[in-house]
This record gives sequence, C-alpha cells and structure tokens, in this order.
Amino acid sequence: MSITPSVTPVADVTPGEATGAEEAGRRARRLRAFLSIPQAMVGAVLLVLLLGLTIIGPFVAPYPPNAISDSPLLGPSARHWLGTDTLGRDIFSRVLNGGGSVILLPLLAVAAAMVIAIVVGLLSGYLGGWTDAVVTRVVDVVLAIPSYLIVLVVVTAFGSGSTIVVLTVAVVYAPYIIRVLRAATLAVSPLDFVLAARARGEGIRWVVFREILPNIGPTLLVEIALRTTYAIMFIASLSFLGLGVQPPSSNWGVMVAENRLLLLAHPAGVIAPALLIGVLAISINLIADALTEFFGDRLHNQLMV
Amino acid sequence: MPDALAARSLSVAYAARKGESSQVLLDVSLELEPGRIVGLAGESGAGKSTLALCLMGYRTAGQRVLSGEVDLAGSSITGASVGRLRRLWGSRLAYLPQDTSTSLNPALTIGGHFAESLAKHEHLRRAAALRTAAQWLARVGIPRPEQALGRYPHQFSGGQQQRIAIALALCLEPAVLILDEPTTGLDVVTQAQVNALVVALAREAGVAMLYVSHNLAMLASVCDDLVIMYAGQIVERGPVSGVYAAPQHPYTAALIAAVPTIESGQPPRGIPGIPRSTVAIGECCFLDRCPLRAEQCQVSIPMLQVGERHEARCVRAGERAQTEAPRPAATREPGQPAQPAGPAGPAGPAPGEPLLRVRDVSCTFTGRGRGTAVRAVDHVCADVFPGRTLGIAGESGSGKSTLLKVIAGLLRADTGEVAILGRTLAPGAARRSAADRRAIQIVFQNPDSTLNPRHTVAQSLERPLRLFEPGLSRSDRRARITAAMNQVRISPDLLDRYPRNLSGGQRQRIAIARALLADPVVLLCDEVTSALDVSVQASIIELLLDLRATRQLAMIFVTHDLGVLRSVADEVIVMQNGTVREQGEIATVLGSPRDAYTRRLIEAIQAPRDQMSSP
Amino acid sequence: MGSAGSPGSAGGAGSPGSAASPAGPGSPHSTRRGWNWRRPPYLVRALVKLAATLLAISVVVFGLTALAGNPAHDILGMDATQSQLAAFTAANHLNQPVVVRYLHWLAGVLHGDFGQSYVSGGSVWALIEPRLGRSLLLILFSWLLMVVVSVPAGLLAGVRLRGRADVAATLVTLSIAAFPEFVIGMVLIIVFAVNLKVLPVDSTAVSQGGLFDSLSSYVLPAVTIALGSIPYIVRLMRANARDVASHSYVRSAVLRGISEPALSVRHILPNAAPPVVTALGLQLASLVGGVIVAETLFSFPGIGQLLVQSAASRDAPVVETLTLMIGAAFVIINLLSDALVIMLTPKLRDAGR
Repeated sequence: MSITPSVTPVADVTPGEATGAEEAGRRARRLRAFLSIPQAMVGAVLLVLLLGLTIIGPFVAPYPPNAISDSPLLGPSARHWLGTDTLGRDIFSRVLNGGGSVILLPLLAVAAAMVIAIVVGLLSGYLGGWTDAVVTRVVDVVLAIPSYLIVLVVVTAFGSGSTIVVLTVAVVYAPYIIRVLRAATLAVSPLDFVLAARARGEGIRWVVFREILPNIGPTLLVEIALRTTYAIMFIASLSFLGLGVQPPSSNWGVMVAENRLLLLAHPAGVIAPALLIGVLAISINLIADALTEFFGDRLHNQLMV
Repeated sequence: MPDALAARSLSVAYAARKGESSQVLLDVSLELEPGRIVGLAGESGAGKSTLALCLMGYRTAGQRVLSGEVDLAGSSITGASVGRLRRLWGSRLAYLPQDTSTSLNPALTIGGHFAESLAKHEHLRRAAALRTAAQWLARVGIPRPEQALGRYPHQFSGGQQQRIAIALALCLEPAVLILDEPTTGLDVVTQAQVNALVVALAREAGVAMLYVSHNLAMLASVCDDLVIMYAGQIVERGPVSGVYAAPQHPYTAALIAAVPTIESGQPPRGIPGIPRSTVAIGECCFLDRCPLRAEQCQVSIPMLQVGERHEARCVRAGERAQTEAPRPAATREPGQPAQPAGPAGPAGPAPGEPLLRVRDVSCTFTGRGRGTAVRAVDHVCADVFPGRTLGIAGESGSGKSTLLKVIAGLLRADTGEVAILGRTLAPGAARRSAADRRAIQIVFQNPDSTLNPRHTVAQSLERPLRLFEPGLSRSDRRARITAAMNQVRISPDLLDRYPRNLSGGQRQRIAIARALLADPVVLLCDEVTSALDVSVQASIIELLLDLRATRQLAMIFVTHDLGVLRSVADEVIVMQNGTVREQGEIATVLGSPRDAYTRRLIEAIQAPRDQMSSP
Repeated sequence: MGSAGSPGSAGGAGSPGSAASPAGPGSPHSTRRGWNWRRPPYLVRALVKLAATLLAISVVVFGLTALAGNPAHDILGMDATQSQLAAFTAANHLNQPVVVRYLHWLAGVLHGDFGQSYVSGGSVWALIEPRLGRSLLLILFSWLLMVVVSVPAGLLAGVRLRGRADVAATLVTLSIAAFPEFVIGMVLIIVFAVNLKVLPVDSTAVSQGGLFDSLSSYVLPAVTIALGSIPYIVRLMRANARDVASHSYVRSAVLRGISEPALSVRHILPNAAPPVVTALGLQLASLVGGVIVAETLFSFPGIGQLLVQSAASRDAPVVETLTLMIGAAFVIINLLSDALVIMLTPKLRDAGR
C-alpha cells in the first residue's frame, strides 16, 4: 500500500556538457566505445572473417562441392588440402561452400521471430487486459514444450528441409523474444513520460513505437544477439540430426554427420566443419556478451530470461 | 567528555576509471560525544553518506583516504585491517542504513538476525541471544516480541522494520551509532515516533550518534548539535539552536530560508545556481552562488570560530547581504478570483462558480490474494476555482495521487464525475475532446522518469504543440518553445540536450514547460517537488507561484508536505485512506484544525518548526 | 486493473503469466473487477494449470500432424499401390474426421493405450518401454552432474567478483557454451575413446553388454549433455550472486561484522537461490535437446534416438506419444520448481496463500 512519499532527493548536480554538434558524433563515439570492449572486438573480427569465408569461399573453392573429384578417403595432400570424404568429394571445397546456410538460415529465422515478436509482444505488453492474457497463455504453452520437440513434431508432419526448419525455429523462438519484450514493456509503461503521453491523448501507435520502443532497444538487442547464437547451434544440430538441411548439401552440420563415422581414420572431414560452427557461435556469443556489458545488463538480468 | 568517535581533517577521493580521480571529502573534522546526537545536514551530492561510511572505516571500491584520519576512542581506524574492522563493526561501531526494507535480510527471521550478531560478537548461544533480542524488541516498542522473533521482515510495517533495525544495532551496545537517513520513506507520523525513540535511546544508553538527513527541519527536533555540509566540506557546525537561530554561513542561511514552514510568512526561497558536485580547491565552495561573495573569498577558507562551540567556514560570517535580490511578486490578495487562462475563451465560469468540479469520485483497486479490495478514493468532492490553487495533503496510501490521475483521465473512477467549466469529462483521456485534454495538464513527481530519455528536450516540448496546434509552422513552434523555456527559466541552449545531461531541477522545469505549452486551464502537480533537494524545491515553488500570478493558472497541488502547501495553496483538502478528513482555507486548516488526523499531522512537524526562528 | 502495492510478487515466482498488469493504455483501466472470488488455494490452481497445459499440448501436437494430411505416401514410399495405401489408411483410421481421431486417441492415452506405429504396426508403448529407463537414468546423471558443477562454481565466481575464480569460470564457460552439443561430444569421443581409450566409442553396450560396459557407456553422453547446460547455469548463478551481494542488506550484514562464510551461506545464497531454482527447472528444456542429440551421436538406445528416427520416418503416433510424455514431465517439473521457489521465499509464501 505504501508508495514512499519522501524519496531521497535526486542530486541536482551539474551535468556533463553536451552541445548539439557533439550529439551528432555520439553514434560514432558509442560504436568505438563498444568496440573497445575486448569481447566485442574479438567477436566482431571473427564474425567478419567467417562472413568473408562464406561469401568468397564458393568462388575460391578448387572443386565443385558436390562433384566426385577423386577416390574416396584420401588423406590431406597438395591436391586436396583436407582430403576427400566417403564419396570422393574434396572436403576443403565442401567446407568453403558450407557456411552459407549455417549463417543465413539462423539469421532468417531470428529476423522472422523478431517481426512476430515485436508486433505481438509490444501490443500485448502495452494493451494489457484480454490481449495480454491470451498472448501470455499461448506463449506459456509454446515455452512449455522443449523446442526440439516442436521441430520434431513439425518434421514428422511436414517432412524435413531448410524452409520448414527456418519457419519452425522462428515460431519457436518468437515466444522468448515476446517474453522479453513484454516484460520490458511492462517495466516502461508505468513510467511518467508514458503517462504524460497518455494524458495528452496520444494514440497507441505513438505511445508504443515512439515512447516505449526506443527505451527498450538495448534489451531487445541483447536478446536478439543471444537468440542468434542459439539459432545457429540449433539449426546446425538439426542438420546434424538429418532434419534440417538435407544432403547432398555441404552444410557444415551435415558434413559432421556424414563424416563422423570416419572419425578415427579421417578426422579432417569432421573437425573442420565442427570447428567452424564453433567459431561462428563463439563470435556471436562474444558480441552478445559485450552488448550486455555495454548496456549495463540490469534490465535484462532482472527479466531473467 | 572524551570523544567516542572523531574525524580529523579527513580528505577522501574516489578513483573512477582510467586514472581520473575526484575528491569527495575535503578537510572534514567532526566529533561525536557519548549521549549526544549530532545531525549531519546537506543536500544530495554534499557527501553526507560518503562521510557516514568513512566514519565507519568502510571503503567502497576505489576510495582512497588522501589525508586525515578517523579515531575511535582515541585509536585510529583509518587503514585498519579488515579483521579488526569486522570485530569493531556491530560491537563498537554500528550503522543504520537508509532503506528500511533492505537493511534486513528477507530470507532470515528477526530472531535469526539477532542470533547471528550476538553469536558473532558476544558469543551468546541461541537461547540466550533470543532472550536478549526479545528484551530489545520490547524496548523499541514491537508488540509481542517473542512471536516477532519467528517472523520475517516483510511481515512488519516500514516503521516497525526500522525499529527492529535500531534494536539490532543497539543490542550489542556499541559506543557509536551512525544513522543514515533512517526515516526517509516513512510517513510523517511514524517518522516522529522513530525519532523520539532514537533520542530516548541515545540518552539512556549514552551512545554517541550521528544522524544524517536532508531534512533540516526534522533534524532540529532530534539533534543536539548540527553540522552542515556542502560540496564535500563542512561549512558550519554548532549547537542546533545556535545554528538555526543565527546561521553564520550564507549557505546555511539560504538553506533555512528554503525550507517551507507551516506558519504564514515568506514562501521558501530558492538558491540561485546549481548545487556543486565537486570539491572546491583553493576557493570557497559556495563562491558561485553566494550573495556575499567578495575578493577575500577566493582562497581556501578554514573553519572560523563564530560563537560558543560554533564554527563557520566563511570570512564574512554573519554579515547580511547589502542588496537582496527582489522577490518575485508571488503574493496576492486572497479571495479574489482571477481571470481564467487557457483556450476556454473569454467566458470563464460565472463568478463564484468552480472551474473544475469533482463530485463523488470513488476508485477501488482489487489486490491479489483473498479479495483484498482497496478503496483508494472514497466519494471525494472537491472544487477548484479560477486562478486559485487547491492543495491535497495526505500520507502515502491516502489516495491523493489516485484522485489526481482520475482527474487527468489516466484512471477510471467507479463512481462520480469530474466536470470542467460545467462539462462532464469522459473517464479516459483518449475519449476526451482535444479542448478538454489541453485544459488539464499534469506534472509528475520523479524527475528521472518524467521525460522520455530518448527524446531531446526540443522533441519532448514539441509534442503538445504538434498534437494540439498542428497548423503551426516550424518557426512558430520554435518561438513558442523558446518562450516556454524562458518562462520556466531554463536557457534555450538546452534544447538539444537529452534528459540524462540535465539536473533533476532542470528536468522538472522542462516537464512544467511541456505542460504549459498545451495552454492549460488547470495544472495538476503530483508531488512535483518531493524528489528534489530543499533548495531546488524552493526554486520550483517560486516558479509555480510566479506562473500562477502571471498566467492566472489554477492548480491542484498534491503533496505530503504541509509546509509546501502553506506556501502554495489557497484551499486544502486533507485525505486519509481515501476519505476527505478536512477541507477549507489553508490558513484556517493549518492554524486551527478541527479533525484529529489533521492535528496529528501538524503536530508531527510542528515540534521541529518551533525550533526554527525566521532568519 | 491496477493492483495497489504488490509489485514484487510477480517476478519472484518466475512464471510469466502471473505478472500484474499495469494501469492500462489508451483505454483507462476500470478499477472495478468483474469478479472477486476468493482465490482457490495454490495446489488446485497448479493442477488446473497442469491439466490445461497438457491438453493444449496434445491439441497442438495432434493438430499439427493432422494438418499434414494422410502420410500414407510418405511412409509407404512412392511406388505403393492403391490397395496398400487403402489398407494403411484403414488400419490407422486416417479416413475419419480429425476431431474423432483426436478424441479416440485421447481416450486411448488416458487408458495407457498409445496407439500403433505407422512404420512397424506394433504398439507404440512396446517401442518406448525398454528405452524409457535408460534415458531416464541418462538424464538423471546429466542433471546431477550439471548441478554439482555449476552451482558452486557460479556462486564462487559471483562472490569473488573479478577474482581468479571469476575470470577462470567466465573463460571456460564462454568457450564451452560456444560449441553445439554434437561438437562437444565429438571432441570428448576423440579424447577419451579414441586417444585415451578409457571409455567406449559409442553407447550400444547399454542394451547389450554387461553391467560395467553398460555403465561406462553412460559417462560420455552424460558429460556431453551436462556440458551443454553448465555454462548457462554458471553464468546465471554468478549474475544472481553478484546481484544479491550488492544488495543493501548484505552490506548491512557486513557492517554488523559478519564475515565471509556466514555471509555467503546465510545472506546471499537463500536470496540468490529462487531464480536459480526456476532456471534449473527451465533448463530441462535444453536438457531434452541435449539428450536427443547425444543419443543420436553416441547411438544410445534411448527415447531420444527413437524420437529422431520416428520423426525422420514420419511415424506420427510415436512422435505424438513421446512429445506428450516429455512435455508432461517438463510441465510437472516446472510446477514443482515454482512451488519450491515459493517455499524458499518467505515473502511469497504469505502472498500466495
């Protein structure tokens, strides 16, 4: 019942100077400040390298990735830097070609999840009442089922493939983002400047998108970076299980699956793609970590996702 | 009498990242004697809490003692080992923090707290510890002490929690007790009770106490000696009556003048300029804001004797300013309705008719748990007349803010209606006409959240104009915004700043400007000064009075501080638990209250006020 | 609906559905509720929630597979004859309307009859039954391993912020967290099975070999699964410990002279525990994923392996049954962890009743 009547006074201290002109340079300074966090720099560099590999790789590969270019199971040599796999395809070329779907699919899935989540989550958090209750229930149910199970059910029903996987992952991950959005919106909605806007009679669109959304940006960014990490690993794992991207694609996850039986004799076919998946995940992980530190992760931690 | 605790010329700096260091305390000397209570007063940023923790010997990360030391009964504790400090903390030196709800561990029973302390320092076994605990709980006035031992902190009210914390601190019979804003967050009546307890215990147990607070008036009722801090330095200290009756340092005098009082007289005066956040080296810390500043103030000023046990850090101590800045014309003859402001047009209400009428409004909140319905507002009626200010007084939970939100259209009432100029208002702001929405504007309490942190000042101020006068050209808008900034006395240079680069007082002024830009007829103020320092609060009050005079604005001013209401309001209603206990002209209600609750409220702050004579 | 003065209670229980909604948006909230019964006791509410969630899951699962239409083609292959298709359809009641099939299935489930596999034609339960125990054991080992390692590590790292323990923990968790489970498992195989030869390369011995062989086949999969979750729990524990440690009441205890071990145990842990308990419960979801991947990688004959094989072969009844079972387990465990949190938090204990 008690709202503290006498709050400890806010220090009326002389603030830092910031003129209009300086505000413009703010963005550049913030980017530099962000990159000065070690994790951010390392993560960014790794990511850029991998992206470079993925984009340029296919053009630089010595052999077509799906072509049988030699006898199977050859060890590393000058002609085949990583040797050949069970069918005689050049492993090095396959690796160079295999990054695309590993990086692209998760990004698509997260992007789609974000769109769903923003619309649903923002509205639900702000409108409250019926909308909020229904959305919360649905979110609870989806979150109640482990993600793998949902994907498995969908694959049972509709078969495997990249499209199915992207759509399903989007639907599965949207609730996490919705939950964060909703919690953040709930935290921001009762703040005085939102009340002031409502008292002025501002419409829903203004209040949600111009008052609330800019203030939950950092939290959202951190969550998205996190989701991307998970999506990468999830989709790679699904490909490994044979449920995502299908052979003969040279997707790294698929490569690990196909070549794992040769682990003892011929590790290159497994280690190379596995390592690359790992490095990709590390880089996004580092960036997510750096973002958390950069924005001061109070809100996100409180939301405890 | 030998000092129980003394600080001698203590200077402390705080090292921020990357080698920058800022000094937070400069040349602080302080003595605490057994059985006497020393009050430490100052506004936020002055360094009171830092000093309190330094006196404990507690160093936060990055803090360095530059010079000076702290002595406990003659032996230095500055730089003492952690082990020694741990033995002293609790048993010889006790500390009572500010936030009542988190000074006690929510996962530990009351008995558990006592058992832990008594076991650690006095090696008492649990049964003996609990017996001692029960005695102390009784002594601080906790009913049914044995049962209380088995309960958890959240099961007690804020006032009771603080009493328990006091008992916990004193049960080890320390020589020194430092209380850091112990009654902030408690309502006025409880504050008075807790303070009375503190005073009694100090006398009985002969404990030397330091009472830190920003509430100067309250300190007067509690302390024997008073110490005033500003910008990391002590600027004046002496017996409390002496310092109040005849403040020697210009800052002390200004601070006392800024405190609103219940008795009629001058409204509080703000202090020009912005409070200093850094320690001043090589000059007087108050130089930039002092009406008495002169050539000789541009050196480091030592503490100078100005009376019996009374010192002040001023070379012109006691002098009166030659010319006083003219006071803004804030007074007005009572009983004279002024012309209404706003787009209502030339035709205001008929003379004698209220501008805003609240009839029979009720609001019920259903809490979680077994049908706990709370009647936040219970059939309240109120009238606001043109050009006059209605004050709404009450403690937390009285429903005053709820009522204000109903009027603003942010909450829907269960019964009753609000009418402006005779037209009934729709319950929700969204459904009201633009004219109605413009007519009523609201300003909130917390300067941290009143402006959107992601909008510049200009963007925040533009909104009302874009919403209500979309036809305005860009340059016209700019002109109006600039005019509004000038009205609230903020430099238009700040238009492109973000709220985080503004002080609390500045943010509140901008919030007021934003409200004014809609050209309202009634301004609703929800505890707008409660989160501000005394001097800043005074300047905001000055501003509001000025606006009222020049724009003939009607206001509803909600606050728990009766002193502020005395300066601002014409009529007042006193609320408790949703009902109106008393209403009438401010002078009548405060001078001769008829209702018992009103009397209790006044008495709780009356005693301190008695100590203060006009400067 | 504005609820006066009960802010903290929503966050503590950790279930998103119980947050109090704020005074609303464009439409100002009525402060008058439509109904005002006494809230039924927690247990009843929990059970109702459990039943509702399970029902919802079953509907979703069944609905999805039904949406896809008749799987006869996919199961029997491209060159199935008409009569084969018809026989399949009839045997699996695929020509009846969806709702009927659902109710039929639901009735069966409530009696313990989980239907027949599309692929083998035999009882679903017969497929599941032998594998159930093995997988449960595997999950148990993994979970225990995870808790025993991550809780103390996280607590230590959080309390000694920026100390050696913290830096070490952060580095290690960051590296492990980066790799998907199958990669971790692969590395473990290479190190322990191939190079050191102390543990078996795969877990087929679980169903065939003797006790020792069988038990040692659990080790690598369990470690793999645990490593998948440890980083997250360590990070959470650390963040929580740090959060609590900076709380005012911890500082107050310090200023009463209370020193290290008592501080961590009596002041920090009880207050940091509830969110961790919730997270440990939620972590089960990723544990399920880990089990699925690990069983496939190690050829472990458990329900994870069965699940993947059935999904790949479009065997809906098996997948539906397993999903429902695992989903039910998950919901129950979360309910239990919520209850545990309430018991651990004195404040919630009073509010909930």
